[in-house]
Amino acid sequence: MWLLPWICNALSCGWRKFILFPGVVEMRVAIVLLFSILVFSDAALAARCLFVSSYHRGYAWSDGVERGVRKVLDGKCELRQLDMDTKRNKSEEYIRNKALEVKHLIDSWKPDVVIAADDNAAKYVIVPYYRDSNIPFVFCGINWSVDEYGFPYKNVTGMVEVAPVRQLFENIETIRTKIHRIVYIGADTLTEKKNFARFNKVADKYNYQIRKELVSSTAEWLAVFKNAQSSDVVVLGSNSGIPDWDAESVKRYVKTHIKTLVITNHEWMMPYAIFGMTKIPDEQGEWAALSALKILEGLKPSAIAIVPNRKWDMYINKSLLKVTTITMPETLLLKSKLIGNEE
Amino acid sequence: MKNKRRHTKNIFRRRVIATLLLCVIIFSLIATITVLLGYAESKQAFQKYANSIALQIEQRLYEVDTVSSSLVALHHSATSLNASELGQFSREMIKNYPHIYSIEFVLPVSREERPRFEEEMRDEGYAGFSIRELDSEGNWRRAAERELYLPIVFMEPLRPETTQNLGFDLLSDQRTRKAVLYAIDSGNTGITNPLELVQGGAALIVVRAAYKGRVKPESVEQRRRQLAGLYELLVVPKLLLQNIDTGIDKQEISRFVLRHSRFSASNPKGVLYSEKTGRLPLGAKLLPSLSLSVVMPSLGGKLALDFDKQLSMLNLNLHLILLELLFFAVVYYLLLNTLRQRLHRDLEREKAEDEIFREKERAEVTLHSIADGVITTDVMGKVEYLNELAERITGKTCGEAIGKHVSSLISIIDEGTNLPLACPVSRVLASEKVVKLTRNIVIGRSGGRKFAVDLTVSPIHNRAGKVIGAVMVFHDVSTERNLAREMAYQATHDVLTGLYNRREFEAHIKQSLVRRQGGLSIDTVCYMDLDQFKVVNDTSGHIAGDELLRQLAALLKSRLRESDILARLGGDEFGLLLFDCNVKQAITIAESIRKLVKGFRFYWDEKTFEVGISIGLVEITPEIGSVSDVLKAADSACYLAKDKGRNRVYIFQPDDRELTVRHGEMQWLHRIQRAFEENRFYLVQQKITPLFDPTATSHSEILLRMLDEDGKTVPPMAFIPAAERYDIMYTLDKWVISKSLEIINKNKDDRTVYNINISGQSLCNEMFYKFLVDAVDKMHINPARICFEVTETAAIGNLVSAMKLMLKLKEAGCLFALDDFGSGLSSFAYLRDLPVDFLKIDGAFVRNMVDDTIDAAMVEAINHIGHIMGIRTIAEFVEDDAIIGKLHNLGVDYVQGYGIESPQMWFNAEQAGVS
Repeated sequence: MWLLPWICNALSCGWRKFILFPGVVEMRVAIVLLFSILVFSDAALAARCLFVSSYHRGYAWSDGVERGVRKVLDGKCELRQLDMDTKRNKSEEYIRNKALEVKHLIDSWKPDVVIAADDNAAKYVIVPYYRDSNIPFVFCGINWSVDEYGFPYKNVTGMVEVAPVRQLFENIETIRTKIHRIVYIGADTLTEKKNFARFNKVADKYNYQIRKELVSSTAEWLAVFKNAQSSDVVVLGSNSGIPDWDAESVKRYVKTHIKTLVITNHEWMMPYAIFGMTKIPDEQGEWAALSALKILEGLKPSAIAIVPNRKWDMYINKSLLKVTTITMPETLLLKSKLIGNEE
Repeated sequence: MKNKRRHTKNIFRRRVIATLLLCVIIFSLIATITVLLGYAESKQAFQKYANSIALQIEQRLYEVDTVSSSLVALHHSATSLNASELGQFSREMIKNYPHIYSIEFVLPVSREERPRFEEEMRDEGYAGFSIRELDSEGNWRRAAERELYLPIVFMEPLRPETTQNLGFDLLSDQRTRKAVLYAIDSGNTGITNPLELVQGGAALIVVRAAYKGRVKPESVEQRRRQLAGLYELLVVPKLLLQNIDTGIDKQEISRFVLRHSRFSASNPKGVLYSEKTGRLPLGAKLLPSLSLSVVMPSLGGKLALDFDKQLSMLNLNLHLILLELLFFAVVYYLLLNTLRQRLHRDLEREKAEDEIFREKERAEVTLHSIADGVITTDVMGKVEYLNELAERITGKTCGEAIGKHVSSLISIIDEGTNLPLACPVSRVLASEKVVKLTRNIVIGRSGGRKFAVDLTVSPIHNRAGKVIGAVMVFHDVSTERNLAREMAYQATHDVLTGLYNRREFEAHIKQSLVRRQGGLSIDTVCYMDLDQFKVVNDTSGHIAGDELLRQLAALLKSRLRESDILARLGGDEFGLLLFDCNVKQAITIAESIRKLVKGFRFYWDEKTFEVGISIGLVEITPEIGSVSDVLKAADSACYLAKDKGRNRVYIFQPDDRELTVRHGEMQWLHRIQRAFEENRFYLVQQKITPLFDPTATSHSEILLRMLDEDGKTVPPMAFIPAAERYDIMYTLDKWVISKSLEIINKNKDDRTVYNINISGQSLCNEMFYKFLVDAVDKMHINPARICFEVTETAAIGNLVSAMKLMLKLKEAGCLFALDDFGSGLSSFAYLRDLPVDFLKIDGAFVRNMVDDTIDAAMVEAINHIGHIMGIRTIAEFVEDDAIIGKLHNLGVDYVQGYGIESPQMWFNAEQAGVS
């Protein structure tokens, strides 16, 4: 709008004079117009990227994904983020409304590519509204499989979030020789159910008996944790979805009651586990962003295969290891990051 | 001249072309040598460069081989090698060896294992994974059924654009199959031809097999059976060239070809990679290229690098050539400049020669055209040139004169002495100074005409100042000299008579005075004045007068000695200087002259005139101081001769009283002038009374009086003669008339007729005429109250002027009286012509008429004649009653004199306060 007076000025002073006999004012107008064209063309060329997070900021996983996205996309396109916050608002109605909000934003803002992080964004936005549409989507953080969403669509690609379950089991066998019973503790959420299913599937290959304990409160979690100490291995799923989670009290409780090998795939659950092989949320965000850039460069989403994440990290919580009788093999001690040393 | 200039320019052009050709040839030779040297140097440097690149590429290929070996070794040594660990290792390798595009792992899958394998891959997160192959059109499809598949299951780094390669069966593609089988069967490194597996470029696949167990199986069969997997490294040939430091700009490589003998089967030339690098600068293709090939062992074969280097200007030292070109351009420019300067000098010289030629032509033409004669000689005085005038004077043409000495051509003569002079040319050549001969020089050839000339001879110097000849210029001044002679003659002679003039006469008197003062001789001066000459002039005109003078001059000259100086001093006055002649002798001569003139008769218009001559003699004595004194004395003597009755000779005596009086008159001149300045003139009136008619208007004559320095009245006869002689009567008359008219004008009621005298001098004065006519015009009284008196002598002596004035004033109404009638020598015939109203009978007759019967008869005759002619008469000098009675008896009309009334004061300037 600020250009309008200048344009009007240029028009009012007559094009012939403006072009043939430019004065100081005309020259200024010409410079401003040229500058404006450059700005507009730059703006026109700048692609729009929409990042839709299923959860909220402050949630460790989501923060990691966002970090990865921004690391790649910052400065490459106009990035706009919308958090659906469905971790804390689990009602179907809320999620659907939020999905509609996302849809309205997409329809109005018309992004060149949309990154959809985690399941709810895929389930409630891509699947119902944008299957095979002209708007390319890159998903990430979808746990284990995209089968339930029917991916790939011609406009959808992305990275599947897989936990290194097999690798985890391979390693715990180096820690404990006889493993029969495993207890899986997690929040009572869809994600945890899927995670458990994956663990259960892998456990079958190793002939482990695995039982799930999905809870909705810290007290329940503590109780389940205490009871699970009699098993050979306790697998800690994500606590995300337990609203009254009190990290400090849980940490103290765990340290007091831990007896058996407690493992996890989540970095943020390492304060309560002895050994962990954790996914790296940044990898999800980075891949999604790289794919989005390639799409912006002209690569079709269908030309990008859906791949799983391939990076993970290894942790050993020494403070908890000390309070148990478990002996950690030297190879793991050499490869794993040690936490809890400060205690 | 134009042809010569064209010829010079043609020579210049030929020189320019020759110089240009010479510069071009030398430049070409040096440029060729420079190019060849640059070529050799470039080739050497490029060889070094090519070897360096080949070595580094070979090193990089070796590194690729090493990395593939390391992967296999890792595979064999690791207890458990998962994707994360393999990815970590691969990332490190790629980081260290950036020419490795990616590292991939290929897992052998049998047909039976394929479904489970694909299921597991999908279960691991590779949604939609399957073992795939490319159809003939390059599209992905599920791999056809075969016994063994070798799909890619891992790649690091995983890039969105390369994810499609996951699941690609290497055995499905002929391009990879051979290398893969070779790697499996041999256990060595297999290399594919470049494949378009990488977005944006082709890649080589370097593949090495990992076998189960720790030792590589011996046989091919076992190797195939024990195959655990394949590690393949994608090498982008373009990356092989990255960051290769050769010290040479890679941009100079126009073509780069990487060949390996391992590929010769599928590719006759074994080309792994070929690219045209380096952006050729504009016009570089015009330069030759350099081709090199480097071959060295690598990866079990031979690695060959072919380079084409497009030689640049720098390689061929073209920059030096440019410098050389610049140098030669400068040299050419300098040479060209030199040639131009030379051309310019030649042209200037030719121009100067032209100028000199033109100047010479111009000089010769000028010399031929000028009115001066010019002769130039060499240093010996021999003629080199003479112009036309000189030819005319010498009577020789230039051709005839050249080489002859100038003195043989002309002779130079002193006009005064008529003696020949030495030729000044020799003197000029010797002295080197200009000689000018301008006085009385005549030149000419002997026996020929002589020319009066001004002669100038000047030396001619060369640049060094040395005399190389002389130029003689003579200007014909014959006319000027003749003119000068004429002017000298005119300056000393009287034009009318041919006698000496007054100035020359005075000069001779001066010489005589000098001689006399030196006691050398006694000379005498005669001052001669013709008598009655005015009568001839007035009656027959000036032409007659002039002729009379001419005849008399000739007459006198014929009777005088040659040595005597006869001069016309002015008017009818002549001077005669008699050398070596005392007074006695002079008297004799003067008498003879007087008689001669008296006996001379002048005939003009049938009239015969008799003239006389009055002569004053003065002997030049030592006592007479100056020429002026001599002339004054002679003039005075002549005056007295004339005064004593004319036609006589009067000898000057220093103690002569009459002469003293005459001399006194001269003093009066100054006294009159002072009296005027001091207002010492006044007017008196004397009554003229009618004798018979008491009613007749009485007259009153206005008379002028002067007071001397002591306040005493000076009688008119004391200063009037002097005033007349020294021509100031006009002034006195004018004053008298002005004052008289002024007074008369003031007394309009007065009926008296005033008689005012007019002198003879004023009568013939044109200015007085105008004054008087103007004054009468301005009068406010009856003009008949004014009666002007003119003496008989003055009227007859200035008859024409008197007539003119009288007629004019008579016309205005004024009256005229003829004064002193009877005293002159006039005949009564004149009276008939003069328009006078009154005759005033000379007082000399009246005064003695009582006692002298002749005088009485004269009075009676005059009165009688006047009455007959209708003129009234006035008797002057009437001093007593006896005279009145006698006059009464004779019938004279008016009487005037002391017997009637003595003069009365009429106007006194001092009293009137008039200045």
